Amino acid sequence: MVSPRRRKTGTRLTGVPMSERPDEELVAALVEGDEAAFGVLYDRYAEVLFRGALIRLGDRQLAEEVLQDTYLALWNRAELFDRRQGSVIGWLSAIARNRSVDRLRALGRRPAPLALSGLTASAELEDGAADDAREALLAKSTPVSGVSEAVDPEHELDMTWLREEVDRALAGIPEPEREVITLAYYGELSQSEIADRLAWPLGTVKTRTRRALARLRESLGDLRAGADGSR
Amino acid sequence: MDHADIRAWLDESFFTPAALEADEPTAQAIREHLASCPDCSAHAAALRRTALMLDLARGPSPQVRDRVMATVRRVGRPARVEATVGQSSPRWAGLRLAAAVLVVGIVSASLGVFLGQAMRPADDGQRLASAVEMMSSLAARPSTHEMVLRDGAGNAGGIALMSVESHEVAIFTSGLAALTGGEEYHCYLEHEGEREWIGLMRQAGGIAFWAGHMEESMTAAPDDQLVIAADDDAPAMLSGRF
Repeated sequence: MVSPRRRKTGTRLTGVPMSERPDEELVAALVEGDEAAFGVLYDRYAEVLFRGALIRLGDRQLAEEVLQDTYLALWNRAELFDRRQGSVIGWLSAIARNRSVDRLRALGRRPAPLALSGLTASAELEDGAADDAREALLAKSTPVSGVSEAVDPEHELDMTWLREEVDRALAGIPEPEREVITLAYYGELSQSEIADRLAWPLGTVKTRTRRALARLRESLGDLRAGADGSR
Repeated sequence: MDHADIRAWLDESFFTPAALEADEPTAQAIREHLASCPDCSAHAAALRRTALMLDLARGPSPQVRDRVMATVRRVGRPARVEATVGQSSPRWAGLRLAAAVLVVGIVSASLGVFLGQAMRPADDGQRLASAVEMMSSLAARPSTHEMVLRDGAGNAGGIALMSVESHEVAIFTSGLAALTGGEEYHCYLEHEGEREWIGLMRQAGGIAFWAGHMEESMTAAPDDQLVIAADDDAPAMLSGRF
């Protein structure tokens, strides 16, 4: 255990930046209430934990709730981490997995709409949909640096390729339609709000949304088909 | 609504996926249609895949980080409890040794009664011997999680050892009240009030025990409890927290 007199600070006497410290040291620091160490651990693993929860739950909002719960559990119970039991990301993954299962139970054990079954350990995720997106993800993925000790395969998904493909798919949509998608998805505006913002009739917003979605489905569908064909 | 209407509704609900789960007549009608229409169901599935790809590529919203950090700043440094999981302090090492000695003593005594009365099939005797062996093996590993199982009044009534790596668990209890009507005790992993069944407790003389491997999918997290109860809804007769 670390000294209880360790000061609450984002830097250390050794001069190594907090962002470069190993996980175990950061956990020891946040046991002492070091918010900077906590922030570094968030930035280091939030994305991979979010993706795991999203794959299990198939719902962005629920996945973000699980992510929040997981990090608050880390803050509240960091002293329970024992490096001999495994890595920090492994511990966080276990917490996130349990929180995801809680959400599924609250939903009546309903299978996730897009359960990528091979990546999930939960028995609740019955893969009735036989979703092949998982295969596409795995086919195109390489291990992400810094999480090589992750206990779950989904932690090793590198989403760089997917981001590039999504960016490419969005760039391929004509400007007026892309604007609708951008405002709706990234700006989280309703169709009525978009209509007000752009001074377009609501019907025009709806039509352009449908066209944009059709193009996205086609582009990302091709991406999946290409991934399948590359195996 | 015809197929075109259904698909238009699905498209318009793309950014509000919870709309399909809503408890209102339109959503209900859409769900019923999707259950019986492969083409529209495929359209809905394609939309969900598209949404998943967008969400995976986007990652969590920055607002989540803001909320988490704001909460941390608001609550401040939590009151830390003594770590009881996997910490091989001298106290726990002593407890482990004492528990092993105690259990072996109880088991030995019970085994005599148990075998002498020949109340159970022979394979239960083998289970008991295997359980003692697993207990001894777990007790020798420094990474083993240990817990004392207590009743509602805080009285110690058993001990459990668990390995996170191997998922092995060994549980021994004594003094459990006899059950009637064919009921038997079970052990569960309890997480935030939800119990996952581990196994049926075996009886031998005055002790009840279970030893074996938990399901791979079962993972003990901080605050989880090991619970001994008559069924998954019954009050815990004994429990211990990881």
